[in-house]
Amino acid sequence: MAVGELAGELPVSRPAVSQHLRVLKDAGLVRERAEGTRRVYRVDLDGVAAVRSYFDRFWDQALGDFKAEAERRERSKG
Amino acid sequence: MTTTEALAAINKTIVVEASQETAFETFTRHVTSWWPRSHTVFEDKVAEIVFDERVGGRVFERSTEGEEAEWADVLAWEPHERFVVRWRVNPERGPTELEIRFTPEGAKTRIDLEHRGWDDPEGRANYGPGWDFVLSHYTESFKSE
Repeated sequence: MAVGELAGELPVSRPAVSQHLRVLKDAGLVRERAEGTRRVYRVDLDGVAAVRSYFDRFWDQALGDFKAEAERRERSKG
Repeated sequence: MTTTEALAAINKTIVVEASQETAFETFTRHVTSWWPRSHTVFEDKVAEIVFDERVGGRVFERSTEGEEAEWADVLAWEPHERFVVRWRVNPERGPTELEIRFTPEGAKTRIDLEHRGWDDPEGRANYGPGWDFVLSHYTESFKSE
């Protein structure tokens, strides 16, 4: 997606979009390439994969907490 | 790692020593009592996490000051067997789908979790959920300024 296309979907100015895209690029969430005079951005799959990997670990923790609570509730019913 | 592997659905299975009803209700109606506060928007100011218990309902957090933060929309609601939500707001929780199934196994219950939709590696990668995900990060960044 080009900067102008993104700006058209957002309630902020085009320079602000460019500035924020730089932040996203530094964070590894998007990648940038030049196409003529335009800069075109795409989602960095490695960045999305990192979030997925984070959730993969998160669910192990959360399901452990869930299991403890479900079993506590079951015992207190008895 | 290939793109397909990197973005495959997350699948987890656990068995809990609780009835299907207790398991389902603990996961949904009583989620506030166990959900890790480190993975909430308001952290130590979470008053409650709420599942609107119907298709089209919301899943959201409410802070002690009455603010709300949306987590998800309910796509399927079949108590006490399964539910599906579409997570759409918090930047670290992109527009993904989470399905939890509860299956009785004697006096116990098996819970199958699938967290999917990390991206569509075949075609829509640059215009589909990937961009929704990034844009949610983007709009979130205004709030910290």
